[in-house]
Amino acid sequence: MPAKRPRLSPGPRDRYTEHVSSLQSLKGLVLPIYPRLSTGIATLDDALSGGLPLGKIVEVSGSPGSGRSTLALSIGLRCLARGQAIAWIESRPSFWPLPAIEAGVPLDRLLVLRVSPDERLHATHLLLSSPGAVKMAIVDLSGSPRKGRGGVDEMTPLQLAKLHRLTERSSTLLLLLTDRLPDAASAGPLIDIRLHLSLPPGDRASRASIFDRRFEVSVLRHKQGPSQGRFSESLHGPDRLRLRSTL
Amino acid sequence: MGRTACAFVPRFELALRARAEPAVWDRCLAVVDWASAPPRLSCVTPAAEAVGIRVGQIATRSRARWPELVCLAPDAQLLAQAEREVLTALSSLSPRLDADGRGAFFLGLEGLERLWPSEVELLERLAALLTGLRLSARLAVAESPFVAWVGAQHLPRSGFIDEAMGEALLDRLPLAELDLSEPARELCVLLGLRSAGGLRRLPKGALAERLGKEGARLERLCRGETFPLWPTVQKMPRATEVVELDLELALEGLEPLLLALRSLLERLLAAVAAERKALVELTVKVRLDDRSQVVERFVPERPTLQSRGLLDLLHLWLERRPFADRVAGLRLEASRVAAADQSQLSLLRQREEQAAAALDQAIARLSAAFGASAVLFPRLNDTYRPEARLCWVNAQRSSGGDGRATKGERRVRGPELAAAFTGAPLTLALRQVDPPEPVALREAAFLTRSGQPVVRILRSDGPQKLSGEWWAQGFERSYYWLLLETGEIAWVFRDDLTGAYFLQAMAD
Repeated sequence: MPAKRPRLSPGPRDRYTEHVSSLQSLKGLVLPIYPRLSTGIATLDDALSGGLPLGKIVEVSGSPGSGRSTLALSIGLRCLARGQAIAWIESRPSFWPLPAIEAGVPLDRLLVLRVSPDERLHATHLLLSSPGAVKMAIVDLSGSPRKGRGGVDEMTPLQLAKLHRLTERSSTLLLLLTDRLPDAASAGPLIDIRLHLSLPPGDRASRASIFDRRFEVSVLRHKQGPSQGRFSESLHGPDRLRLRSTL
Repeated sequence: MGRTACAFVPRFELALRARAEPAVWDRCLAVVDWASAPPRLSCVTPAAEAVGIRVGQIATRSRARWPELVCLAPDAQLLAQAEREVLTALSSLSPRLDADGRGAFFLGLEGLERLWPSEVELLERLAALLTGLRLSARLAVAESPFVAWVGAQHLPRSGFIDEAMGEALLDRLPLAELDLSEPARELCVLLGLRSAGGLRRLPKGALAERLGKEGARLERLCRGETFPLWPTVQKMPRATEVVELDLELALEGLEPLLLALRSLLERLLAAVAAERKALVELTVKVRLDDRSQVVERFVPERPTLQSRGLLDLLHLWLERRPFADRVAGLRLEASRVAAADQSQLSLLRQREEQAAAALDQAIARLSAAFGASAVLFPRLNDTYRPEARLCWVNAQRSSGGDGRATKGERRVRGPELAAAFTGAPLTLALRQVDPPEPVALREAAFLTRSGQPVVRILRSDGPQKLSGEWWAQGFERSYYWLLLETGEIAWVFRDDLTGAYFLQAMAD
């Protein structure tokens, strides 16, 4: 039997083995590529790998009263709570965050732009041209005539591409609120995620309280993950909006 | 070397902050050593460890992994003050004291048998002193400072370490714990050494022969022949920070020069920041292709560690075309520096300031493009009527932060706000109808808006009475929430003076 070879001193290969064996297992650990903002709906956040990604365009469609503003404001309030700025761009002066502000939302980071429908796109471009100015921008495109001016349909591919580039460069989450139907096409191929909100059918009159209601969020498009999910969340108040006297 | 007691305070820098704010332990916090390249985490809370953040990780990667991680700058002043405080307290136990600046404190016990006949009593007294300083420490007593240090760090509870236990501990201590340089670590691996015990058993001089001073230090360390363990590095006066670049091809043109200057400037600022200083004056020496030299000095508005303002100054200078020939070499000097304050060294603070500056810039651009009346911030008014409660003010007039609460407003920030308003379930948002729109309510069951079909009312909630402003026109209203057939929720009110109904807002 040949003599056993003497054991050689440890070489680079053993050092590699030593390093590899000390590595933490990444199995089951999901690391999102982009930082995310939570939507406030836990199941939806799980499906979206943690929330809506910064630097991307997200379309939130739904009929009036379906909860689009609620969802958008919920995400925005999380940014405000961290001291980050958000912007709301609209052409009809209807944004009214009174319940949130009554509760003490800081006002110095909530920016509202009221421009004509034709100017919404230009205003968004200017806002996103200052990287870091706002963490989230919500553009209210609801109420625009489908083939009218200033609506999402009016954006050419080049304009949408510019918007996408500016959004990515500024690492801002751009939320487009539209009133498209669920079976209508998204605003364009550069929309990364499309959520559709709807009110669940059923006898609403049978519920205990007028505010005892839920809304449903359907993921119609999700470029970085599985789409076609449906999630529901319950809503609350403001059943007693504080009409308080301070004088 | 002699019998030594070691008191080790885990996560020392965070423990010091927790003395003032105990909630530190429940938050995802890390202290970052900004002087290292790249900046690495030097201390993390248990809450951060629970989400996978570890000491030694690169700060930017940890933040990308967990954006909620709060990164703090080391507070040298706090550390020094706390060390003095602890050593002053320990001086009542032993005259021979030392600290390593990382939470380990050493007491020499040789010759103190008459003062402390019982070491148990000494340890109890030591523990009481540290508890009085609101620091939680693990204690160990051993024949050498090194073994005592290892015992205090790795044993589950305070105690005495005999020779056999000390040997076993050193055998279990991995070399990564010894803060070795890269060549030393590689040599130890090549020699088959994996633990401090292996180092201890090496023939005397084996490491010193190969690694020089560091090897000798390591050997003395593992034999317990070094006291203190980590000698304090004296800060030698350093020469002016300088960065240079010799260009293979002479440059011409604004953009290439700016690009080269930007990279040099960032290196220079990183070097200045590593010394805990800020830049007061920047000297730029440009060597031209014709061998002449141009020297220019730039003084920012205030000592800074940010490149943006300095780059703007450089940009303006280069636009004036100060060079007669192409540029062959660049040299940047931090000709004057000053001590940096905490905000300048804090990356998070810099980011907040940059974000605020970017927001001001965006507001200025938008106001210039669309008029000041298009760019608004909300403001609460001290009034009764809901439609007048929230008004909109021009952002430019109020930019710079209008965070002060008006009379009667409750300011809720940060975690309180997040919990109160953003927790599940979501709170309904409203769309204002401004001015309130006259509507018709038929038989309390149908709602009619102008130009829209009649909608059936499924449920209603109310009334909630509101009245006031008697000194002006005065009003009396009854508010109702209406659940409509379409699923929408409308907020209407009845003017009790006229009996008319108005639509105040719609939920969305």
